[in-house]
Amino acid sequence: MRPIAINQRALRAAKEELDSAREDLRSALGDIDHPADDFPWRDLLVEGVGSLVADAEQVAKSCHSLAGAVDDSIIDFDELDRMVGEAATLAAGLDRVTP
Amino acid sequence: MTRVVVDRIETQQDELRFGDPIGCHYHWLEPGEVDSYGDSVRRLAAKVELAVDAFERTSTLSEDAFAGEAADMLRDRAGRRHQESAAVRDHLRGLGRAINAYSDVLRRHREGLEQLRGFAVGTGLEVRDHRIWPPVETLPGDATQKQADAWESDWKAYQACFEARIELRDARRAATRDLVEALAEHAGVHPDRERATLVPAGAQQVRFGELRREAAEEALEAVQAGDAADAARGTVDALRRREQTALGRLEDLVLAEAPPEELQAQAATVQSLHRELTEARVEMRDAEVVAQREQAQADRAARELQDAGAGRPHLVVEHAERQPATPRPGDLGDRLG
Repeated sequence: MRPIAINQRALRAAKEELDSAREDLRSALGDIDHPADDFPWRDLLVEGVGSLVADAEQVAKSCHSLAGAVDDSIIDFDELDRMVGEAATLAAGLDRVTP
Repeated sequence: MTRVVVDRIETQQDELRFGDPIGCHYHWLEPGEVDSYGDSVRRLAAKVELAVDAFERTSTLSEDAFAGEAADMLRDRAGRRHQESAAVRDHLRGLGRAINAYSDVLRRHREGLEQLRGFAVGTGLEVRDHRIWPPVETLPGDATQKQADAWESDWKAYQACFEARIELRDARRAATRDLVEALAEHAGVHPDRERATLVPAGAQQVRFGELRREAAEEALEAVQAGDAADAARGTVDALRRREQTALGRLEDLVLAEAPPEELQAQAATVQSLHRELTEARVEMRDAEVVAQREQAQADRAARELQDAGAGRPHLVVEHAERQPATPRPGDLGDRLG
């Protein structure tokens, strides 16, 4: 397996972009106001726009789930330092144990 | 998908006949509001563009920043979402533009109706309840020459209004085709009348023998529809000539100061011929549309037969469903390792 290299800043920036795109997209979805008054081909037009709006909603959901996946990949180095420190202390303690 | 049989308004407008009051009022949604609707669809496209960029950024995270199997899975997944969202953005843009263009079609139609109304008022025709009313059908037997002239001139003005109204309707319909095509291309929705012609081509698992029979049947139908369209064109030409002759005769009678009864009878003949001609024109247009459709079906059936004979894969004309793939429950690929 290749070594894992993680640039937290790059991952955080990617996640923030996904979150921000999702917010903007959700706001634009709320702005779509299907016309109520009649005109030729209104029903077909509203049906067509509705199906694309559903696709755009799916894009917003994808932003959310992918941002979650990125978030899961970001390692909290403070937490990691603490865990490594604890492990070192435990190992030092083990060295002093006489079998 | 909701099925739209045929647009209700279009059906209503087919019922306009010579001698009926002619509607000259625009009573649909304001074109400006249709334009705004198109703008809101394009704004949504612009916001989807942000998601497209965000997916791209994640899909191109460098190996230096993030490496390993989990990183590869994340990049692959973001890459797929990037493609899907770019398609949604393009479809929204395309349909938004088509809606903007359609608002111009409605605007021109409204202006045309306003001009029609102005023309009718200018020629002295009765305009009431947003309609142009036809002149009286008959003149009293003791009408003067002046009255007969005015009556004839009114009918000619009405005829001009009627023809202008039909032209406005037809121009609007022709321009509407772009919208209907955009709806099919970008949103995958079709009027049923159009869709019905596509469905047979979407049928799968067709045997060679069936293809051959279908091709023969389609070819026969195309020939019959072509003949019907030719016959309808012949009828229109004949009626047009008869109408011209009858109009000429009416003019001769007026010039010869023929008795009002005779003028009246001749005017009635002209009117009845005009009605027949209008109906025949509608029938001709319908027959031409049917002939084109049948020809396209016959061509397609012939192509399919040829493809089957050559062992090539059967082409399915029906657009594939463009639903973005939804994550399957339990699909670990969507949970980044």
